Amino acid sequence: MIYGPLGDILIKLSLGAYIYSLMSLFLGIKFKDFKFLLSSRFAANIGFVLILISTITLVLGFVNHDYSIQYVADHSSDAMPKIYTWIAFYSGNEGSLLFISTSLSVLLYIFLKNKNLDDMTINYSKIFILFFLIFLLGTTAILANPFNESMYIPDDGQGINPLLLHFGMFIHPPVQMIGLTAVSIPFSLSLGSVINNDSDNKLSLLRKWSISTWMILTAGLALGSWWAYTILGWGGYWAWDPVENSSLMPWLIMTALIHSIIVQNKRNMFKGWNLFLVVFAFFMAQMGMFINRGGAVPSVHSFASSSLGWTFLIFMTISSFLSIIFFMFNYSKLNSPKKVTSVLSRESFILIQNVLFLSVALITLMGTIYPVFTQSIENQQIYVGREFYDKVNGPILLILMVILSIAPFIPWKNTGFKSFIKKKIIFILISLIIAIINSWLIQGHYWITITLFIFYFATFQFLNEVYRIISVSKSKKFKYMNRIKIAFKMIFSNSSRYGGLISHTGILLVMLGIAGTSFMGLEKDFALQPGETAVFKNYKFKYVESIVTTKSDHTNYEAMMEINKNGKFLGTYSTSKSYYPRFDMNSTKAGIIEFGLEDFYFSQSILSEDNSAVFEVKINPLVSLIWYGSIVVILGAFTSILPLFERSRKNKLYLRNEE
Amino acid sequence: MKKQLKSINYYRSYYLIGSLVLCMTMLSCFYDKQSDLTHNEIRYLELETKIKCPICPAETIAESNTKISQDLKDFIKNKINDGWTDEQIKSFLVSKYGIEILATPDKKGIGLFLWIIPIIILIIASLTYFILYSNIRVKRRII
Repeated sequence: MIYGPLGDILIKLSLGAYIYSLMSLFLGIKFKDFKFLLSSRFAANIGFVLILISTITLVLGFVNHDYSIQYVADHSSDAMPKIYTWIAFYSGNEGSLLFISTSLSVLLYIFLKNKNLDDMTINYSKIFILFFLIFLLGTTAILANPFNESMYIPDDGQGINPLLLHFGMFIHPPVQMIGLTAVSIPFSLSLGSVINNDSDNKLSLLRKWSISTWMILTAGLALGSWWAYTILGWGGYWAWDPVENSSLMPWLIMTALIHSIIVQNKRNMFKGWNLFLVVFAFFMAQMGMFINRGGAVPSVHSFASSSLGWTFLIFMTISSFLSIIFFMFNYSKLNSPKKVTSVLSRESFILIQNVLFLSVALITLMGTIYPVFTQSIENQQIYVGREFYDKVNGPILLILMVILSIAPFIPWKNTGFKSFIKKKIIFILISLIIAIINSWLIQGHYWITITLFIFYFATFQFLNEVYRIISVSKSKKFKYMNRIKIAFKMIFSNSSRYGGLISHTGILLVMLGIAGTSFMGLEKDFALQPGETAVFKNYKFKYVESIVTTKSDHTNYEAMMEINKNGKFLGTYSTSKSYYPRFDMNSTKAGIIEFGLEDFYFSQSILSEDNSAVFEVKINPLVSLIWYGSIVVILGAFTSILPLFERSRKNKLYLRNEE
Repeated sequence: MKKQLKSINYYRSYYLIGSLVLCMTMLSCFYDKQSDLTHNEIRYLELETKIKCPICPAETIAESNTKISQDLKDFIKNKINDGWTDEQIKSFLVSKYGIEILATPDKKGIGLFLWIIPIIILIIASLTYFILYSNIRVKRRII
């Protein structure tokens, strides 16, 4: 069929268009000629359209089962429902590369939209984005072309990896990939603005792009852990797996960046530091792509692995080397006249937060690549698992929570130690007492006491802030509806601050969820015959029967379970396990029942001939707070970049500061 | 007078907070971990996250559902019931499968440097804070 050659030509044409765009951009900048700049912009738009069409071609190839394309034959089959085309598209190495290139060209299009041609900062930034895009597109077109024709045309394709057949897979991988590529935009923008000596005017734009990127990365992480929790069948949401780590590291550094940009905006400090952070974030995103593709470290995410890791490694090395040179040449431009004047000031706290986030990222990086070292130096295979990360990163993240509870509520420049303590002492005392009572009641570990203390301390201050908003809208004698309106108006008039606070509230919820599952979760294995009943805490459950259904590509074992809580019948729930002979792979669907904030989680691990089964039963308190909290975080981040497109009057981000 | 009124209003928020806290305290009464699981079961739960499944790419036996990890789980359960300590079980498995059976290496031998790295990084981090912005002058406020 025509899809293969057509897509192939389109992708190469698009590569050509982008290369032309880069050349013309160079000429335009060199000779200050608008014709070249216009032509470059035009070529970029053409490249964007071409790559979009080639993407559609691949989708059509999937939909029409065009097995003459190798990639389609490898990643889909006749039995696959059409809706899974979307997943099959990026389920392999070649397709995901095409997806990444397409998403970057879409981002480039959005980035260039409504920008003046004579805006040199944008032009300089465009150079870096185009370099990255040409690298990605070139790798796709030459080394890993998804449109390669197969040697012989099979009757039916291989089929899709069964672990990917899940609702979460519709969103998680693309969001994650877009997030990792989007890091290149703040990177290019800050490099461009440093070249053009224009970083103050472009700060608002940089902030928006950084927060948007961060938002996408957050969504990717949250969706990924949700997917792991519901489908991987081990009852957890985070395993410190190398690929998970590689998506966490850019997130950590972007988190540091979006906070230190505020300092640059408000106090005109940290210019060099911000550039360093954004370069480092880009490096980490590259690292993530390398780990995902290179297969240097064993991981459960091995479905996109290939031999292409080295191209990413080379690109990463070159780009970070050039960035260091760039940094050294522009060092004089990056000096900020102002310094941090007091330890007890917001900028100082943000600096501590930055440094700690960087430490977590570096420790995670070291833990991830440590096995590679031991393998190459001592020829000894080892693994670094969650014990290391929990023990090392856990306390640091708790310290970060302490900073989260203090930093948004102390003023810039400096504050006296005594007045600071005076203001906070009542919060500290109340939360300490409550935390101790609480953890005594649940007979918990001392870590629970610390976590709860930090949680309450932060929550009180947030409630205090909410109370301030309410009391302001109350003081004017308005009707109830108007009061809400005024509260909303207050939030949006200072959207960056209140958006940040909403995000922080979400982070607190996530923290509570993590603490709940890791400190208070219960787990036990039960071996049950059909008809047998077991009791676990206040749950009583009866294994009713096992239903086996055989389909063309898999066999499904479904176990039905009747569940009672506190003597009340709640219903019949099922957990299923599918075996895919073609892949020799099992996919487990756990039975998860939410009761309020508590999850009752069960999955079958072994099924014997006589239908007796071993069930892994878990009670995960507060786990759903992680997902709800993540939604709050993303909403908050979105609020903080409102209005999305502001009229360019002044670089006016913060209308009013608190206190 | 007005200021006084304001402060009363301010303290009303503490009542609000206090009541919320009371609710949370009540909620937490429902959880008690120790009474449900025996000491050995807790030990088993901790131990199974520290042993890697020998054939899976990156999963511990707690996460994996393969036959061999099921056997290892049973082995650990039996040995705990026989009265072995965690260290004994771990060193037995290491002698049988090699060090790659551990999900995280111990703080000795090949894994020692791994546990030193975070300390180095944290020292560098604090140096970055204190040296890069060394102009920190703590102003003392006279009250």
